[in-house]
Amino acid sequence: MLVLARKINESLVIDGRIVVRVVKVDGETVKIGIDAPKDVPIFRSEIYEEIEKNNRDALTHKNSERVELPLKRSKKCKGRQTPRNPKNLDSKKVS
Amino acid sequence: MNSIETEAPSRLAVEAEDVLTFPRGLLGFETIKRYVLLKNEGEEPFLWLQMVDDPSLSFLVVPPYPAVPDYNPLFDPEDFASLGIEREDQVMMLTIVTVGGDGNATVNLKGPLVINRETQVGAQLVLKNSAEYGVQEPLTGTDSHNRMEG
Repeated sequence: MLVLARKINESLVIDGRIVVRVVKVDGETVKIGIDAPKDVPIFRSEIYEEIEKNNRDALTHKNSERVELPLKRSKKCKGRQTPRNPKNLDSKKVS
Repeated sequence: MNSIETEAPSRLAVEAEDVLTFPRGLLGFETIKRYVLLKNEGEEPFLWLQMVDDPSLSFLVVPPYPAVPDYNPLFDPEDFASLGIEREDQVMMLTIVTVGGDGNATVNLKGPLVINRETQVGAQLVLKNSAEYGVQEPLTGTDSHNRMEG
């Protein structure tokens, strides 16, 4: 990782189009300003990683997995645990 | 005021098998930009967001309403602008479902999919109030496993 020292209000230019500026330093918190084209997505890393992992976990491989959907059941099954009648579903394919 | 509130209609305006374009992809799937939304009989309100270029791969999705009635996402207006969304009735929202090994289903309320119904262009957006929601929240508005136990 490239490590550069910057003072408050100093900045970096990345790829000629993204400017990262140190706006404020307060104890352990650093405020960073970013100027980037609208087509450049910017996320806090921990949120990006959490959603990325969840997306990967949610990805369903047809033919190798059967997914049971939490579909609505008849009213009479409310209030107690009834044996479920697994309904294995395969989504139709697009030709 | 930096954020706007939106309430996504549950109506599905996009026809089944229309191609939805996600120019930025989904998080972790940035290179995959084209999906088709499939509705299977008997599976409503659930839908499948299937990759056009690899039909064996898909995400199970559900509109957050009525599946999660008290969901109150706040979006960055710039995110909506980037999708060309100016009015609420242009918005279709879907949340990604994860079905765990125990059969319990959860939804990602932190990073919903927002699609412009008119252009069929969408994005996975991180909420302004993302701290209020997790990526594996219970489905409260459907008669799911959890509710049957209650």
